[in-house]
Amino acid sequence: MISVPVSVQLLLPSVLFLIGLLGVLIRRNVIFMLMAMEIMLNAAGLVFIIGSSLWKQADGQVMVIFILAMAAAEVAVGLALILQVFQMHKTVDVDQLQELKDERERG
Amino acid sequence: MWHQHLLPALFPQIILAAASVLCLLLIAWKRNHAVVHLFTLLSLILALASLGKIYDATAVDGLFVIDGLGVFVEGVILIAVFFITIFSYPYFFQSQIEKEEYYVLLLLATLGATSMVISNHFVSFFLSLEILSVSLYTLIAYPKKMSASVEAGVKYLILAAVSSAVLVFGLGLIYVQTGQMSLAELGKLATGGIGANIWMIVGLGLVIAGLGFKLALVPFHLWTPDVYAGAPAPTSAFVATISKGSVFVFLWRLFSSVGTMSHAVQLIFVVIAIASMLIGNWLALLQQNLKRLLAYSSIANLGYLIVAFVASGETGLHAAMFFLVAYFICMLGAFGIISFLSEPAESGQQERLSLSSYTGLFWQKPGLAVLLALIMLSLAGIPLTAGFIGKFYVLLSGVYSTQWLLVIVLILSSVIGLFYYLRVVIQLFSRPETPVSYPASPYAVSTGLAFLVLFILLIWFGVAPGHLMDQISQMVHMIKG
Repeated sequence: MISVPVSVQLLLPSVLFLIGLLGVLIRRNVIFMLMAMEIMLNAAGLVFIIGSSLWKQADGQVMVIFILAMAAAEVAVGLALILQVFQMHKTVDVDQLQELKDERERG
Repeated sequence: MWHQHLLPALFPQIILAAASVLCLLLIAWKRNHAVVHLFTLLSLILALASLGKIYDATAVDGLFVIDGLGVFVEGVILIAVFFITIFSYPYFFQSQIEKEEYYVLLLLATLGATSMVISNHFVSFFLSLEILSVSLYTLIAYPKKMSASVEAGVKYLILAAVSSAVLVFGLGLIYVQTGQMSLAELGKLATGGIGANIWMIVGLGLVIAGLGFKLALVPFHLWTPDVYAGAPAPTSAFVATISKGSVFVFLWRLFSSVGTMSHAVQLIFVVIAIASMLIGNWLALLQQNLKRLLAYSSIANLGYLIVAFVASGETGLHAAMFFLVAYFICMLGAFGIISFLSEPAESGQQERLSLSSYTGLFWQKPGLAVLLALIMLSLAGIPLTAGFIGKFYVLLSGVYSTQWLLVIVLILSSVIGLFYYLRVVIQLFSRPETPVSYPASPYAVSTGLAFLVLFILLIWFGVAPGHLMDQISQMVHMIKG
């Protein structure tokens, strides 16, 4: 069996994680931001998979199940909130949410 | 392994979980705000009473550890939620929305926080963190017709979810490097020395960033004022106290097991503490909105707490616990007063936010004004209040561990803080040109009693801190790494 060094294995989740992070930072559409967060969480799950295959343990895989479950819960609440935002503002652009700001920024 | 005799150790969590389900059933059967409110209070009392004896460093299946630190903070959290529940009743009493589910979410969030302070494993930590955060998203956006609350909810959702992902990615990297997810096992490894591998360093860095978000420490603090200002006041109290206190306990557990602070990690926390103290106090100076002012004040206060964390050791832990209790009392009282003075509006409760709307509160409601003034003095660290003693212990722990830079910044930033805290006090006592009318809130008795208890505690811990400190030093011992 060909074994790939751990640091090479870790590159994939790192790249995925960065893609997700950039997505959250650059995208202004809340739905895309939620998707980017999913990518980040799944990248973290992948790290646990790598750990569990490296150490021959099931613990990491258990963690992945929890991460998936919690990500689903997070999205369920997130989409409900986004729906509410859309009903109020007729947009899902985060830059349109400007009610809460420091006074001096209002100009 | 299943140890039946350890079951009572988890009674608080079991009671809270059962109570939230029962509460839902109760709502399905009959919607009654008062009944649900009383049920929540009762289950909190029950959970508090079930906080049993301390199982010295006993691991429950390796996931939880029931030690003095955990039990002490669990107790503090349950009492704090008790106060928040009392404040919620008059706050939601007149609002048109369906308010019963608020208490279910409150119980669930409490479940997450109490299990986080005893968690000793990445899995239990992650699970309890997410139970806490997901309930908080909804608690923040609960008045769903108020655009400010929904906006705060979305902002908190995005930032908390990103920080959770960052945190869990960091934990994953630590797992890959060590093969352990239990803090106890990590501690055993750390005594043998964990290699300073690049992935390990990145992992620790991401964990620090993730926890920093949750604690609202300075480079990661931007969400705090928006969320505090937009959330309903009882929820703001929850975010300010309980979610931070519980994450702080895990931070302490993690870094005391990963080994005595290495120099690099210590340096990071020194920088974070200094930045939080200075920037938190500095930005608070500019605020005209009481809730935003409290938000920046909480950032600065968490900075003080990190001073005790950097000091570490037994003195640091005791100082941190005392400071945490004093901070809890202040934040609960302040947000309690804000929620008590709010007025029903079309889409939810209209809160008094601007400082000028508190002008001359003393001439209308002297009791509330005196309490709010005392809270401000306590946050500023004026003697004879709990806040002073808390800050004094933190300072002492800094001196013991010869962190002179932190000690100096702590004193300097406290002086800055004095300005804006006193500005609030002056507003309260100055005579307004046109008298501001304050609403007569219904059910003032229980809330008034809660305010009285907070008032007595603030003075009592300030004048005779021995009682609380004895309790802390009896229960809380340094976690063995």
